[in-house]
Amino acid sequence: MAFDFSRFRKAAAAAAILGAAFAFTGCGEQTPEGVAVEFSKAGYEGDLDKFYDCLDTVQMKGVSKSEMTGKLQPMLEEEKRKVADQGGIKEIKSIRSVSTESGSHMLVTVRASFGNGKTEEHKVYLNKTSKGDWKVELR
Amino acid sequence: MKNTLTLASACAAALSLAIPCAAWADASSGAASSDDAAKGYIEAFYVAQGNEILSKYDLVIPKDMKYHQELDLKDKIVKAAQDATAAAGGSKIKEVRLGAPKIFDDGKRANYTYEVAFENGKTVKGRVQAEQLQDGKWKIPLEKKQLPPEAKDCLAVFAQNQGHGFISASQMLGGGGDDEDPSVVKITVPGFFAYASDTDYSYLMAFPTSDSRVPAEDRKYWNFYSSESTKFKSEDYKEEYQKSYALLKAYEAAGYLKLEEGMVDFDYYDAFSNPKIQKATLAGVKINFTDKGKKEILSGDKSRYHGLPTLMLMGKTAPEVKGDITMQKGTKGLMSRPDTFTCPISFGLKAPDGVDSKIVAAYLKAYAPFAIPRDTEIRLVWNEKENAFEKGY
Repeated sequence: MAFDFSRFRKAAAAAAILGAAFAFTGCGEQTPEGVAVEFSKAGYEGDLDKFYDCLDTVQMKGVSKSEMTGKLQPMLEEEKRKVADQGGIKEIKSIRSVSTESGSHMLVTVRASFGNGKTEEHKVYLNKTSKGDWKVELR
Repeated sequence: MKNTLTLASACAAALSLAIPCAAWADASSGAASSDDAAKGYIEAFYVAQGNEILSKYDLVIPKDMKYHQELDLKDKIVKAAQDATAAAGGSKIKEVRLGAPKIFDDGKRANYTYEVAFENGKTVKGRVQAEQLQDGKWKIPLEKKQLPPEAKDCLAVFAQNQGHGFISASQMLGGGGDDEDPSVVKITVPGFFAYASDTDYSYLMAFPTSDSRVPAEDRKYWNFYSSESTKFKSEDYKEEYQKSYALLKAYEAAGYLKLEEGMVDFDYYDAFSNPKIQKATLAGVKINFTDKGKKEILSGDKSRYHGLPTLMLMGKTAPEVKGDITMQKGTKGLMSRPDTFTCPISFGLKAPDGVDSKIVAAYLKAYAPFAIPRDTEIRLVWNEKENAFEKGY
């Protein structure tokens, strides 16, 4: 089981980054850690709207929201199914965070605990927008 | 000794990211003495105080460093401290005992051995070096002087880099400096991986220039992959594909896989030049695991394979890889970038039932630089341009 960002790169196995800008519409607590946790929670629960709301879409010029969500939806649905197989989400929390010297980028490591006792960790890269919000950069 | 091990990992990260490990930064936060610098560092390292450990290092972030690299480096350092703290059972430090410092001739560096006693009765030993800043204060250089007496993490680095044709500089971390004893690295690798996936199948992609079925316009995708991602050279990858395919066929013959050859559609993003989702069609081999393969190879851990034949070596059929890397006493350290480097390594290798071990061995020898026949001596050649050791055995 893995909330596996690499799946977004899929078979290409090449460096891949999703990005896009989006006005903040409710991706959790507006701390980097809060956004990372909320984003991860949305991913595990298959909450497409919230997942997308958390994304930094600045780099996604030319890619429509529908195109992006169309890509994301089956992946999130699969994640949701896998989480269910793991006994659901018991807890998601940030366990480590570091910032760039500039303070405009952060890396938050999130640990998820599942109902079957297993845990997994993944990294969430966040960018600070011009409005001061923190958004997730998929890479 | 957990501390030095994890320090090595942090430094490995720095090296692999080409960070100038010994540059000075934020001099005002240095300690008044080398003893204080060493103790402050140890206390921050073993009782994880968040990012405080970062301030103990002499860490400079080059202006041209990408922010992802900066974040990854810092994350490794903080994680190393967290791991060290966890290894100590999360206990408070009872006492830090520093050995007498060994002062270098220039008077600006001091090596310490230390022992940390925790309140729960655990103790750890390690070594640390402090260096004097230009303003007279002391910090801990983020470099390879924190030698690992044992370093299983090194194997992870080896593992991650197998197949890339180069052994990264970080893999060789732990080499003894002129004043150090030989560093012996104990190795146990359960298998290796490079790319996480969670599907029941994966693909082996053909190298376009070697396959007439691939439209010419699609070849650019692999060019991107080659030049921007892994720096493969075309012919290198072609050869790897061929050997990988041969290995897959051997596994198929043994009943672990069912291969389907054909054209493969995939999505890709090139975030640096064109972030729009694009599609490409390449010749490929779809790798389907049989029930036997799932049982014997995947071993219930599908999150740790990536689609190339190396995945065959995961799980229950993983080769038993054990050995020692002995850095020769007097070998110049990594930072001095030696022209050659010799380390004897011995490995055991086990192919899964029904698969010719020679085929597996041939693949490993070509693409898993660390998986070398027993008692083979490898000679690594430093490649300045690639900032890495070439496999030279």
